[in-house]
Amino acid sequence: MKMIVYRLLFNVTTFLIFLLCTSVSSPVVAKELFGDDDDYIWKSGTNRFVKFVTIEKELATRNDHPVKLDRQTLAEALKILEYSEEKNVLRDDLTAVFSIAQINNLSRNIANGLKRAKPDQDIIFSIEGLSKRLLILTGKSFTTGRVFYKDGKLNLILGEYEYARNEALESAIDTSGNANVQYNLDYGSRKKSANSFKDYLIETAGIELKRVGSKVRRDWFVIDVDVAAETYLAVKEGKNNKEAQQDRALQLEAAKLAKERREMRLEMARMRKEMEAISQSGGSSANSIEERMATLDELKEKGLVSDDEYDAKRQEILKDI
Amino acid sequence: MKNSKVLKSAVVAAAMLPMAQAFAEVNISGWLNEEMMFFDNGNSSDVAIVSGNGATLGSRLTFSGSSEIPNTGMTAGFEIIMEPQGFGSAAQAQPLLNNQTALQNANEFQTNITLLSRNVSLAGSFGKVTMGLLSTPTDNIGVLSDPTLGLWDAIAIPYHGAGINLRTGGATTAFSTASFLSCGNLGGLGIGADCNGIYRNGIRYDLPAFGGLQVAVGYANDDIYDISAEWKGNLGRLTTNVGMGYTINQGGAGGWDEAEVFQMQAGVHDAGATGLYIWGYYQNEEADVAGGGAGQDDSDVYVVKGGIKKQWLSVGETAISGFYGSYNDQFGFTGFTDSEVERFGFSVVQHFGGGLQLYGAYENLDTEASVGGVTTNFDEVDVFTLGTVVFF
Repeated sequence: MKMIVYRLLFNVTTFLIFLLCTSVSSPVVAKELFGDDDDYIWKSGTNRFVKFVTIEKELATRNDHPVKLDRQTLAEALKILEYSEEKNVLRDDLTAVFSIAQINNLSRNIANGLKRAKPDQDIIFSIEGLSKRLLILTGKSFTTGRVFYKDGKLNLILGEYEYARNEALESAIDTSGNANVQYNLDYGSRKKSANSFKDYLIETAGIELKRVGSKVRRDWFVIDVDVAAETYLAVKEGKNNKEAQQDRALQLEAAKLAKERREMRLEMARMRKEMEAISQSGGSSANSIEERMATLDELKEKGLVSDDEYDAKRQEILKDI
Repeated sequence: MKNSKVLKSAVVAAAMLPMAQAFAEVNISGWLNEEMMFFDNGNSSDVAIVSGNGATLGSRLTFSGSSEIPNTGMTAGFEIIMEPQGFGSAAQAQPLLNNQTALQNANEFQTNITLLSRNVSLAGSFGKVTMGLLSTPTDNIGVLSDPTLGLWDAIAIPYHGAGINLRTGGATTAFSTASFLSCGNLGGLGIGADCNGIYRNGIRYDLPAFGGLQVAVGYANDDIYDISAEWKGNLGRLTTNVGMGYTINQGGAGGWDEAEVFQMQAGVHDAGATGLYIWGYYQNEEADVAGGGAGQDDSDVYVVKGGIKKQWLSVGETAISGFYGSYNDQFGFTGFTDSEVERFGFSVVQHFGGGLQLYGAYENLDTEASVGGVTTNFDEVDVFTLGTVVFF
């Protein structure tokens, strides 16, 4: 009897799973449960995509979509997103949130997506990058997030940040080696932080962290795209100017040193000539001796002879008196 | 010691590969899985520290890599997998725990590092061809398909406690639960499900995936042919996978001439909303006994697992599951003519991002077997497990 019940239970369960997997009773349910390929803005593999999703229903909020953002401006705004692992550090010690390849991908696909996004839609993304692993190696990882435009600003909520891929697990689960493994990734939420990004984003002109009540959401970036892009360009120009100034200063210093060395060489050559001339003329006249002493003093003053050389030469001159 | 030196050399060599520019991309990854298991077989009980999931799904170190072949659109790849515990470490591997006596003496120095996989591949628009010691198309087709990736708390193979000695009324018998989980295709290996679940020397061809569907065919030594088809995808907020596989082993092993195995599985996870999931697995094996003698020739396995996986804690998702399995007529050459192992239990898994899982599981194994109209009801085995998996 028990076996009959268990087998019946199993058969019913299998049938329900089959029903869910392969058919639905209404297009609305189908779309609600199964979605639509039109949801994808970009897709390359199981865990690499940018797509539309409906805003979480219970939030009762709407975005300012569709909106047209310039792709280049958006890319520049994303480039200014930098963080540090500690609070209050110098700008030189910061790390970019996204790599250039990730920025190129996001700026293109988010700009494209926002042009046709509906007010009740967000855009979620899952992109691949590299992260440190085992201290000396780097490995592939996923960064995910949620993007929407509201009140004139772009909101980017990070879900997973540098979530490490595990190739060993992928090859065990998908023995074809095509890595068709669905990781259970968090794509970020307005309701609560995924707690994956725990570093300190640097707030600057055009970039700020979302404040929810008294709490700061470290994973939620509010970006004034135009201002952030201008900030990026200004910082880049400032860096360029600073580097140009440093180069110029180095060049001037090098030129000054070269000039001084040249003058020294000329002076030494002149003095050598004088001393030779004095030696040839006998060099014992008082004027000659005075001149020779004055020349020697001058050489000593300019550091062209050492103390020992000075003393030795002085004794030599005095002997001629 | 020798094996650890080999391992160290291999790690250094793998780290050096990018500098040698032999392969554009080389990865080192894997996992470590250790468990503390308490068992009670109706007569005695004990606690053991064991490696989880036995061999072939246990702790492993994987070296893999790929490199594009310029101007061809093709990619060459390789994979080497080593397991830091193998069949040789019988007393510390889950399914091969024989009895309490062996367990009490199970403190020998662990020296085994076995080679699980060693293969090369070529991929392109035509699909992918892999050759060497590899996972065949039907390996893991129904085992590692739990949509919640709950692979260590409870999978279709009853690893936890299968090797514990079975008692009748407290008296020792010559059997363990694994004696009634025999896979003819694997020469009698007592794992119950995934009855083509070992790595073999062979070749496999994966057709190009289309629409989420992957089909693969393979041949392995000796005269083992298999084919598998699997579909995985996101249907809106549902994560879904469906798969099936067929294997025919004409080479024979362990007292069988030829064995055919059919497996299918399906799972659905409402990952985006409720977190509810359900997954089912079925396997049928028909095996011809060598010489036509008495022994297992037809067996069925049903497993269902369901529950909820959702993020309640900030550290990661929590999965709470219940499972039931029925393993019928896998009596091998025990002398019985009918058998059933019923298995039910529940588990809790806490994920810490993608790098760590902690889990606890309870499982009850109830075995009965009959011959000549006489049924033997073995004492139930209860197993409690606390385990951890670290991914790197």
